[in-house]
Amino acid sequence: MRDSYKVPLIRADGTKVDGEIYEGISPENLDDFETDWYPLLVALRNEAIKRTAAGDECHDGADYHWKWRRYVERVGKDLAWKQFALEVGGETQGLMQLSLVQRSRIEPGQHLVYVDRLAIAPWNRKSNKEGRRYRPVGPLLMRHAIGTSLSEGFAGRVGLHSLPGAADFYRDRLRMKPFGPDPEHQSLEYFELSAAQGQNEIEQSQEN
Amino acid sequence: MKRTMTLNLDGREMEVVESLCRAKGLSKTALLRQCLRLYQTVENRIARGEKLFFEDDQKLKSELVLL
Repeated sequence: MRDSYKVPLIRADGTKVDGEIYEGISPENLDDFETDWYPLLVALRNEAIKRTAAGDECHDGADYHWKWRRYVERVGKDLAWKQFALEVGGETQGLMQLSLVQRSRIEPGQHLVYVDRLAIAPWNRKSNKEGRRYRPVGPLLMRHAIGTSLSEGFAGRVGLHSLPGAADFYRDRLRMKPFGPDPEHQSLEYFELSAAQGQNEIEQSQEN
Repeated sequence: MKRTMTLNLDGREMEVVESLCRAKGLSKTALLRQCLRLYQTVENRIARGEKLFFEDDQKLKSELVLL
């Protein structure tokens, strides 16, 4: 049985609903990704390529090629990784993979939680024309990463390389420190949340 | 589910544990969990045929094989 944590979400019509963040990605989560998410992500990606070609730069669906089944198989009993799935009513709304063996750039030598991958269901993205089915899936998973950092003794420090379409969120919403494009990581921009910022984020979420 | 174990260390070993805990801001439990992760990571990579190197500031690499 997987450990789980209840989280509050909002439906497209504004009503509240409880979700659960489970530790571990189940076969059902993988089925949801491959059956329900993947075709929509491919469509998002194709649309983004067309828009970009027409001069309107668009990064939607940039994570369409992530092979979640392979990541789950690879992690197995490896303690360096933790994986999580956010579900509502048994349907997968978000997936996240964390690494626990990375170091901080803000405080060199200190440990942090590194968000290796974070993906939300295509119907929960801003690009969904009918409005997001559930929100805020991404921020709740990020908050869970910060909570994991605290519970592992890493003081709330979190780092990640952002896909281009998500960089604004990490920079402007979470105010993570930008370190610029990382040539050793496909030139994706690296961001880091300090211990003080992480603890502040959790305190604020507990007040709300 | 969490399980509890008792760990017997000699004085020097405990000094190292306490020193690392201070330096990293970790509890003893968090430190030992991190040690286990890192040890397993190294073992897994060596088992896959990979090698572990340290690189100094002159970019000279020395292979570490004794872990």
